[in-house]
Amino acid sequence: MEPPIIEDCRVNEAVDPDSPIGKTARDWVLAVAGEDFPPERSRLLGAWLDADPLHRRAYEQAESVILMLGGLRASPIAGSIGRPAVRPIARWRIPAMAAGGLLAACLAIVVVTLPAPAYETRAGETRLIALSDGSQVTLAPASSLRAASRWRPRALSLERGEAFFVVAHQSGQPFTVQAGDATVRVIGTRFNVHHGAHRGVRVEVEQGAVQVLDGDQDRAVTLRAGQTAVADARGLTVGALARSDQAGEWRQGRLAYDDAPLAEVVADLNRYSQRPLTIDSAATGRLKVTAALDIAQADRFVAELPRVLPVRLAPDGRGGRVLVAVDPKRPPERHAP
Amino acid sequence: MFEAKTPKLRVVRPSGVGSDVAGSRGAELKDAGKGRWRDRPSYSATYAREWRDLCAFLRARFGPGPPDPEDVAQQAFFKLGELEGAERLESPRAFVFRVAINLMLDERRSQARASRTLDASAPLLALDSEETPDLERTLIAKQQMSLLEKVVQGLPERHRQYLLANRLEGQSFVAIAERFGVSQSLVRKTVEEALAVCQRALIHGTADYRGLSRERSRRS
Repeated sequence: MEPPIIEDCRVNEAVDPDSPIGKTARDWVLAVAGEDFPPERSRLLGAWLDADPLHRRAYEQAESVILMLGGLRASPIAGSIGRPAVRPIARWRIPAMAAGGLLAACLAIVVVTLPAPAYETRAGETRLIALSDGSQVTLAPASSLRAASRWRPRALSLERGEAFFVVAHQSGQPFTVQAGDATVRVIGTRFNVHHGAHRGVRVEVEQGAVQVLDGDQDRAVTLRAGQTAVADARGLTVGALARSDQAGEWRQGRLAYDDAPLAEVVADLNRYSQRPLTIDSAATGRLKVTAALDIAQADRFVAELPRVLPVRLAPDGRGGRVLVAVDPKRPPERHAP
Repeated sequence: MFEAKTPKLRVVRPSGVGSDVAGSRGAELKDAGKGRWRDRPSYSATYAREWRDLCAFLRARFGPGPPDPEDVAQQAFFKLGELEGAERLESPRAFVFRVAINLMLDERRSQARASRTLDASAPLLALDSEETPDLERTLIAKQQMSLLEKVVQGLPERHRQYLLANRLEGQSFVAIAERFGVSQSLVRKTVEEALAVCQRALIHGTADYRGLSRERSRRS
């Protein structure tokens, strides 16, 4: 066998190994040298080589270098070069390496257990968050959002509250938001997720499309712009947004409810107010509310509640207020003598 | 299709002639035994696994021939079979690929030489110049090899280790990753960088180690 040499080693004939063609050629040569190379891959290689004489030349040049490197085996200096890779590890190095490995393992554990990014807002506080992938989140008051892990910035969990997402598109990298039992899966869109304590999860889509999967992930709906879905104990319910271009209206300081339980409304109000509002019983919390309100006018809205619901407002003794049910058969408080 | 084609000759199959191993089919001798490669179970395993891949590759890389890709693959497997166990320096897969590529290149060179000799328009000198190109070739090859040795010696340890594990031992990137406890992508990237340094060095005639990554334990 003749020693392999570079046929076109003169500069004017060599394809620049750092040119795009040179790099692709090197990729192919490396794939043959170190990876599985089934016939399908050979067909792709053949097509690439036939596409341009320059491709073939670049490939042959890279291949000749790879073959020459194999020729180091026969070289007199090869022993000294080849040994470090081939030689079994010297005995004294094993404890040192073990110690090094232990240190590396400790470091790895520290790195792995570093807390994933988490974002919290207090009552009344709204936060705009720029995620590392270019997506943006507007986090509503009294909400909590965290990434699944440091390494997966596009897998988020909305633990409570509400958030509006503007997702940066990344092909092959889905953006997911877990809220309670529901998962929202996105590829580039604008949408809102509301994780209420009492009424499951509500998703509103302003732009693009998202897929909502319920708890066991065997049911899924795809929401388009202007649609909304509620995932709760009864499953997934799809509806339409009141204004199709307005998901996450809370960002404009508006809250709107369509036949929502009073408990959910109260939970939302509490996210905006420093003065807690509670409900005397679960039954009162189940009263249904249809309303639209301005967050700035939340106090007035609360004061008006006894006019539309069989409840009255009472101080809770700790600076807050409590909504107490009144017997619907008895006349409301304001008519009392 | 050519992938499904079986070899024309059967000489490279485990023959059982003059072998102390071939008789015992179930013997788990794998790579541990002495004797020729073709007498060992791992030989037929390599054959079964790599034959199609090698033929398809040779056809894609060198065309339909002549020489016929299957013939060359056949010769490469024959050479593997002829190796004594102790001679095994690289993975059988790497061996047959390397040998087959070299056979193809040799064949091409002698074809080119023959056509040059028969070309009536070629200068008369070319007729007796058979030796000269070879001498020149050998000289250039020697120069290139010694440059390459220097370049490889000067590589950072990680680059040299992974490159030589692949080039001298024929280990796949997956196998190297397992051996050194790093990710496959790091191995691939490291060997790629090392090869690029060698390519540049052979073109410019001098080593340049710029562009080598320094991370030592990055995982993907």
